[in-house]
Amino acid sequence: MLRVALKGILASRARLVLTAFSVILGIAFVSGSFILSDTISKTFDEVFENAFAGTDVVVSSEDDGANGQPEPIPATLLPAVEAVDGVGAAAGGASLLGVVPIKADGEPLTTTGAPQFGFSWTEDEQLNPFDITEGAPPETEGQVAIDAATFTEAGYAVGDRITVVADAARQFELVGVVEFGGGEENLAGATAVLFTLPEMQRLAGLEGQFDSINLAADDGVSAGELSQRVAAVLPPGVQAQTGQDAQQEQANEITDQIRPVTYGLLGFAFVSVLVSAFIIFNTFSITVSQRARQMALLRAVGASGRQVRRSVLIEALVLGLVASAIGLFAGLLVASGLKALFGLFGADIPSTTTQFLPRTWIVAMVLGTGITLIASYLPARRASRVPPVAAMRDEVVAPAGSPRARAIGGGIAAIAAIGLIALSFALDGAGPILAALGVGALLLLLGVGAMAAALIAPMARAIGAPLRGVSGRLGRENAMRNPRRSAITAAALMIGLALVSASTVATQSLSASFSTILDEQFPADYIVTTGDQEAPFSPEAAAAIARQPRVGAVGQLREGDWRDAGGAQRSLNGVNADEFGQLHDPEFTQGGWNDLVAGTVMVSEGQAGSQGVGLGDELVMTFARAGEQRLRVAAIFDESIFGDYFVSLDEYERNYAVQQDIVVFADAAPGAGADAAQAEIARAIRPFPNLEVQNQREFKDEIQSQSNQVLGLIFVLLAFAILIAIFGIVNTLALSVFERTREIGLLRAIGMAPRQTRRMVMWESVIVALIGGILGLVVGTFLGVMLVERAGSPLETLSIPIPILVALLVLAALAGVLAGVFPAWRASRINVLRAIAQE
Amino acid sequence: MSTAANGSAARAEGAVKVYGEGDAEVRALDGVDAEFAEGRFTAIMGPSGSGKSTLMHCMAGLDSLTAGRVFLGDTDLTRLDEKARTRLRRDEVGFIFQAFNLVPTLTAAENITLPFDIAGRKPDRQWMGTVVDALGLGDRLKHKPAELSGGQQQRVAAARAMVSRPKIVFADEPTGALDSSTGAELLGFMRRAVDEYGQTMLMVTHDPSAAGFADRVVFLGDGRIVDEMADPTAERVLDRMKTLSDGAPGAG
Ligand SMILES: Nc1ncnc2c1ncn2[C@@H]1O[C@H](COP(=O)(O)OP(=O)(O)OP(=O)(O)O)[C@@H](O)[C@H]1O
Ligand SMILES: [Mg+2]
Repeated sequence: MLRVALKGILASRARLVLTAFSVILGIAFVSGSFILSDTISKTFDEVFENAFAGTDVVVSSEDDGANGQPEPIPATLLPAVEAVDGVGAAAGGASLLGVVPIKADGEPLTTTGAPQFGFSWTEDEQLNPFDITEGAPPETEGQVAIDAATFTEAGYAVGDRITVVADAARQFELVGVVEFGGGEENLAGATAVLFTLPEMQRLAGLEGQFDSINLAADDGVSAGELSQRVAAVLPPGVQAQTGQDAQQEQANEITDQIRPVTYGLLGFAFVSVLVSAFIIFNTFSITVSQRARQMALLRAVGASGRQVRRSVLIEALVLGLVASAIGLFAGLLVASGLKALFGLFGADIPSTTTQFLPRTWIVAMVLGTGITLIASYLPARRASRVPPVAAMRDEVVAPAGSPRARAIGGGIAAIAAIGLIALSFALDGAGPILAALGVGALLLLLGVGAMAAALIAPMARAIGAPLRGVSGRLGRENAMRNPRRSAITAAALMIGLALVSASTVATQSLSASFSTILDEQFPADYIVTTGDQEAPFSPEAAAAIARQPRVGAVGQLREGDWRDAGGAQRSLNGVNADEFGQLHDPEFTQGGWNDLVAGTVMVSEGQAGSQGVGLGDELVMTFARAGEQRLRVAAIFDESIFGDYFVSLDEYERNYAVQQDIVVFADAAPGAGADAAQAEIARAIRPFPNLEVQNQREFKDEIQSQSNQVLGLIFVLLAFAILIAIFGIVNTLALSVFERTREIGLLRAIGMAPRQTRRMVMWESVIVALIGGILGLVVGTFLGVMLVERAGSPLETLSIPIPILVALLVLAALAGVLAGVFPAWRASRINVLRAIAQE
Repeated sequence: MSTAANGSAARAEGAVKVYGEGDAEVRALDGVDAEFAEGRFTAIMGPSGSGKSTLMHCMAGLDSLTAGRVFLGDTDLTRLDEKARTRLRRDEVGFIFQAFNLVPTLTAAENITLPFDIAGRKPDRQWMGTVVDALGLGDRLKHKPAELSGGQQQRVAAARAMVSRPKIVFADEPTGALDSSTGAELLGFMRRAVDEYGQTMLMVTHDPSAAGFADRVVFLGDGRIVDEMADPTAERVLDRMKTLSDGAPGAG
């Protein structure tokens, strides 16, 4: 039987290749996603491994402070810690974000997202993560060293006077080039400028403070032991971690940040695999029925049903193993493709040696082989039920399940799916809601897929109604003659298109909602940020802008972390209420911007409820640096895009060490020309090369273009699933053409031209693709609308972009044309004589 | 319609068809000269492998000769390219095969008008009505092939072959898959088509009684015409076949 199975595989190489292709594509996507995310994680692991290489214990603040950065600790802790028995070396360090070197050609050297650091130089060799590769370390004020990658890119030479923007643009003498411990040229795409410790502290506004103190243990003292001893001398809010723990914590933080990307990629990859399961199922169903006579013959000569079934399953097993193995390695290509893709969308991904972990191997092989086996199980079972007597019959059809039963099953699934989606509106919490929506969506797709067989005939008739010519009519009839086959083929395409259209509705609604919110809450004319870096910057910028005569109100926004009485981590915004208040309307229900002074906080209505505070009450807020504070609730507002808590800048300065803005907003002065005001702001921020100013329209355009980018990215990622579906159409049609050889030969014999034959197959392809497309658009738009409706704030403006949906339908038709090319060519090449000689 | 059969509807001159090369070479046609008169019903007989189907395919423009020439009316098929031969098959030739003559997705009526649909022309409704009536298919037109009996299917095929008024209808064992009375019905219709409408018919058959419906029988053997008979009857054909097969070893 094994021989029979293997011969079955080799009998039709074209079919084999096409079926294998769908598995290969799906598995390559899975494997590529794993490879990429493992490689990114590994890169950051290495970075932090190097950063903490010689450090046994790290002393730092327990909580984050301003703008999501660690809150500094007082420098006075250093002598106290040094005095602990077992401490061999100790060094305090400081750092600052948003430090931009100006290249030799005068242009700022900025990154697309990676942070731009300033670090203090650590004298102690063991505790210093950097190695000098050229020149010398910074020793006096005004000297800096720079990382090797930046050094090369900026076109510097050691000894140059270079300009670096920290709090403002300043000149420094470049004395050295450094490399990261492990020989890495930079920190995963970030830039690093190294200053002397006092200078770094001054630039960062951290006089008398450190980000952290790193310790090396004496010989014979373990890191764990030392961390306990050091912890004993630390004040509350400051912690001592082993180097390894600190490294792990930072690596985990990054991993947490990239996890959504990883899960997203894997989600798209599994969709692709799901689609290929449809294709495998269809291919095996068709070939089993095509070989039904052969199987009946096997039964007639004494093979048991089990043996027949096993022969099909062995065929699937071999196919699954081979295709998964190819897909596994093709994943390497996919990983670098995805990396390039993210680069194209403005997210450069740093990389170390490609991580091809055993987990990737196992998942790819098990998933690919498993899905092939599962998808071929039903066809195999059907094969085993071909009665031996069928060998003697004319028309041999492998027994199939009843289409009505399937349609009913599909209908029940679809109703259950809609029930689940409805249920999500009654649920609370992101987890259960997403689960209900996700499972509902999957169930709906499968349900509609199962019902599709019943929809094929009416839909094909409707779509093909305008077709007059013989090719079109025959194509339409052919699309309907095997409803089950066409249904599964169409369903595979439906899945891809449903997700594309759901994403379209969701992203377009998101940007429409943003636009609405901006209009309602946010009349500011101009917005100043660091663009993609989303880094904090010096308040000097806001001051410079405020000095411009044509500029009116200038609002500053800072973020900070704190803990509520329940210990939950929350964030607040520090704003200059007098001016910021002119630019942002959070719809106050009690009080107003004027009431926001030092010692007070304003809270959103929702949070006031959950914290159990009202106007005039005291809210207990714990800060990393300032400890427990009681702030009076001065105002309550309905809703703000920025968050739920606001304090004045005075209050912010009391509670956080670092004073940097994250966004600055501005209005044109009354009577000032809009362009003139913007030009003035641009001039004012020229000393801060990583800053950019946008007017409200540009800002909206950017949000729109960002959401388009996200949509574009989703399209590209779903293209895999759609590509697999296209292969499915190719495969099904090629098999159908093969099956209809005799009939096509007859048509050719009685005078049908090859061109007409091609068109006939093309039409069939386009009709099946359009059925998949229409079902996908309907289901997808429904899912998208449900998602938006369920999400609620801030997703409040539903936008159904008809032009994009129409374009998607055209795309589906084009997919049909593309898929039809090969089978149509095959059909037109059928040898007429041989075809009609077939009995 | 006249039954006068003067001009030739189809003609083969020194037709040679060779398949394969070297040891595997098969001379399916080995110098066939034959003429098939207009408005006549000719049967081709001969043992299996004697080249009957090959001759018919070459005459119908389905296949090309290795050497020699075939004419359909005045048209030299050997000079036509595939495209022109396709058009010729569509417009000038009708076919009836042994089985699977019909497109399963189309109704009987649609199958009958298929040559017109392929050509993008309107069928001649009156002529179609005549043919359908003659074949007794009137109440079956809306049915799909799977809902028709074998005999009905062959009659639909015959209607399709004739509906475009081709110069010649080629039938390769049209009754091969039918029982004898159903076969006789079909043959009777073919006979009438020749007699009443002047249709030229060329039919390959193994069945002497089928050959009995023809005006003339041509016997093939090893790719050559070995004999022929005018106004055959089933008995005479049977006799002739016996003598031919007796003499066959010597003739080879
Ligand atoms: N495509 C082909 N390749 C090789 N040889 C062929 C091919 N087609 C036919 N032949 C050979 O040519 C010879 C004539 O075949 P043909 O089909 O014309 O015979 P036939 O008289 O129609 O026989 P039958 O009564 O069995 O239908 C046979 O020997 C056959 O094997
Ligand atoms: Mg034959």
